[in-house]
Amino acid sequence: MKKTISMMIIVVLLFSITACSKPANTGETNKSIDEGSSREEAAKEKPPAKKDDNSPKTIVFSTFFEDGFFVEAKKKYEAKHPNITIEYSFIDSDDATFMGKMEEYIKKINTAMLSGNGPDLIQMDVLPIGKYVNKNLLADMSKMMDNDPAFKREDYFTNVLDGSKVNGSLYGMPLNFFMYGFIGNETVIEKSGVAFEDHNWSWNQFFEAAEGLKAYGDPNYSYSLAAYPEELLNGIVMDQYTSFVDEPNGKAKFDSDSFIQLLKQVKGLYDKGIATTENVHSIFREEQINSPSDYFLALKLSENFAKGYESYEYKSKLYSSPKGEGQGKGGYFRSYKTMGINEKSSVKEEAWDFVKFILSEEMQGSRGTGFPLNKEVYKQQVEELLKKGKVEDHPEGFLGGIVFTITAQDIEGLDIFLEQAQYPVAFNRDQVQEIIVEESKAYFSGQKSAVAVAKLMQNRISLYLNE
Amino acid sequence: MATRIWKKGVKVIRRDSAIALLFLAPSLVGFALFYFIPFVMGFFYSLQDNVVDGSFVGVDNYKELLESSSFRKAINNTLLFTGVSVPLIIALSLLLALILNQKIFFRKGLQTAFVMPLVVPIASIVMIWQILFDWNGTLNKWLQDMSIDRIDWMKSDWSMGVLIFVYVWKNIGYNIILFLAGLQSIPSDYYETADIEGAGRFPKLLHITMVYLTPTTFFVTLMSILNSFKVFRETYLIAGDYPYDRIYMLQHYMNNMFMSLDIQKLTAAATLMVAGILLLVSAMLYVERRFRQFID
Repeated sequence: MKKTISMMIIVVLLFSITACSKPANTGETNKSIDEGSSREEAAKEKPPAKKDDNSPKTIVFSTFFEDGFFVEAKKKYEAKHPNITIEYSFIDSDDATFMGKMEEYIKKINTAMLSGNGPDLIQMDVLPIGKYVNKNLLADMSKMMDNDPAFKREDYFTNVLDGSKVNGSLYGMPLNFFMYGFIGNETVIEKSGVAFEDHNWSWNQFFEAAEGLKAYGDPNYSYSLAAYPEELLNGIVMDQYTSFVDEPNGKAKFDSDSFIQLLKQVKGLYDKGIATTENVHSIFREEQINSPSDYFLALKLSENFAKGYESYEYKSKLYSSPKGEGQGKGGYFRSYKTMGINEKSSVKEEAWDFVKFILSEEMQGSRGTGFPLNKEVYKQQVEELLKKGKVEDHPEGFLGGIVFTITAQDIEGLDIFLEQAQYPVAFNRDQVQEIIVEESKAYFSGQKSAVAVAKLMQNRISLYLNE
Repeated sequence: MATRIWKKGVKVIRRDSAIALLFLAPSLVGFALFYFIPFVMGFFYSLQDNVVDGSFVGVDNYKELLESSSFRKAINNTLLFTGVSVPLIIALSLLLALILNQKIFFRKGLQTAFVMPLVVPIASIVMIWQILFDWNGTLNKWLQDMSIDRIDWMKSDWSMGVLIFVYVWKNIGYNIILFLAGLQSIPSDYYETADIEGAGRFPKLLHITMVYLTPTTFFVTLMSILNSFKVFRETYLIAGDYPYDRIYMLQHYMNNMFMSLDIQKLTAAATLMVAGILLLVSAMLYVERRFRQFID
């Protein structure tokens, strides 16, 4: 009796084991591949593999949504390399399902990467790149660049490459990037006599300048900044992250006097009428600049708004965003279309070659949002623009298709900015930023005290840091 | 030879237990496939340093886990929640079951009302909770109208109270039904005999109802404990993945570990939690067995 029961249980277990043998098997085959291509062996084996260039290979390439740029890249690359197939996969989503699908995509790729079955090449933008690096899931591209004589670093914006490093190495290659800066009303600033060194000014210096501008009191511009206070606070905290968050020891200092002081300081700007949440024209305006033509448009449009006030003509200029105390020179950028190579992939070399291809002039020249990482392509874009001699506002834009003429002199300011950008802005907000923005709202709207809000932030952020 | 085996096989299959097992097989396979085998695999992951090509590291992951102050907080909160909410829900549901077991006006309607929360999908209710307990929510509006200071329900120690309230609201109907079934299975002879011997209401409750209801109470307690571990779903939907630290539960920790790809800590935490529940349940079952022997 007992024997039959135990026999049956064994049968049941065997059933379930065979039923789940499929995933187990794939896991094992993967392991043998991984063992075969562990780093030193890979180095020995790769040269003969390279000679045998015609063996068919497949690169699995994954992005969140379908991008025409990559479809074109796949076609062109496959035409040039007949032995390589690029398996391009993405998730279908529309505006309504976007956020849900994004979460689904992140979970899917996370699990696949952890089990060693992830795609060979991934667009990292929506994925937590820092966590992947800490788990050794991504290939070190700095090494690949160094070992590849065909790759010339100086052809690219090296400051962006260096700024994109995580733990001292490059794991995600941005194809494009956006620039951040403050577009300021140069005329008002000059008239007021307020002086500042914008290329390495701190937030405190910015506040001082703003106070000075307030005291000068231009009739048309009473505010120095139009922004949401919680976003402003978040930006300031991120600039001096280490003075509020001690990540290695899991300590947050949001209940400290200096943070409460900062909260009060930011609120003070709004109380004194230096900054505003209203949608008005302010002396400074934070701007994301996507391309050379976008730079001209942003400058020209802001001047054109000003022309509505007929007292005198205004001129706009791009200034650096203020930074944390002692942070030094350089501006902010945000990388876009960041490519990561799976460390466990068996076609790393091929994937790297494909990345180089999509960085090339041939691909980058064709289309894409953002500044190209490839400097040559950027120069071409600028030349083309100057040849045309004008930029045009979008027909459905604020001023309805207005045309501005531009000169070579206008572009000078931008070049310096692009060369100096070195601080990355994360593609997605992390948990700490979410909490700062969420909790500080109650203080800025006057519903809770600064101390209460600081305590709540301390409470929730500590929870996150100590997991 | 073949026929002999065949006959023997038939003989085995004919036996009741074999047939019972056959019927159980689908659910056993399902359990093994979706719970037991993954859990065992998870246990092995918890002893390794990496999911792919991991090497054996013994209890390192567990050490690291116990060093995390957030994990310890999660354990404390979960224990506190179970420790407070389970006795509360048992007492409340027993009381309500005793009341509903009498002939009272609108009994059927009341029974339905208590069971309603069980069948309403929680996701649809969560919005109501949020509107009620938000800093700018309904409850605070009422407080303000009565010129009392607002309370930050979800971001102070009150949040635990709110959770207990939600848990009791959600699960009390189920417990009431179980208790009512238990009450109705007590033979009425016992009460009649007690009446003849002139026992009062309270002695009858204590010496007949409570004693014969004990097996039901054990079962209800067990289910309540298990359900109390499931309150994460409601908490997560109301307060998100990093709530105020008073309502940060074990499943928050595990969920967040999954999102940050820390499978080692995740599986170690799951193993510890299963061990804890297993210990608790076997202790309860042991006490129950002793109690049964005592009654017999």
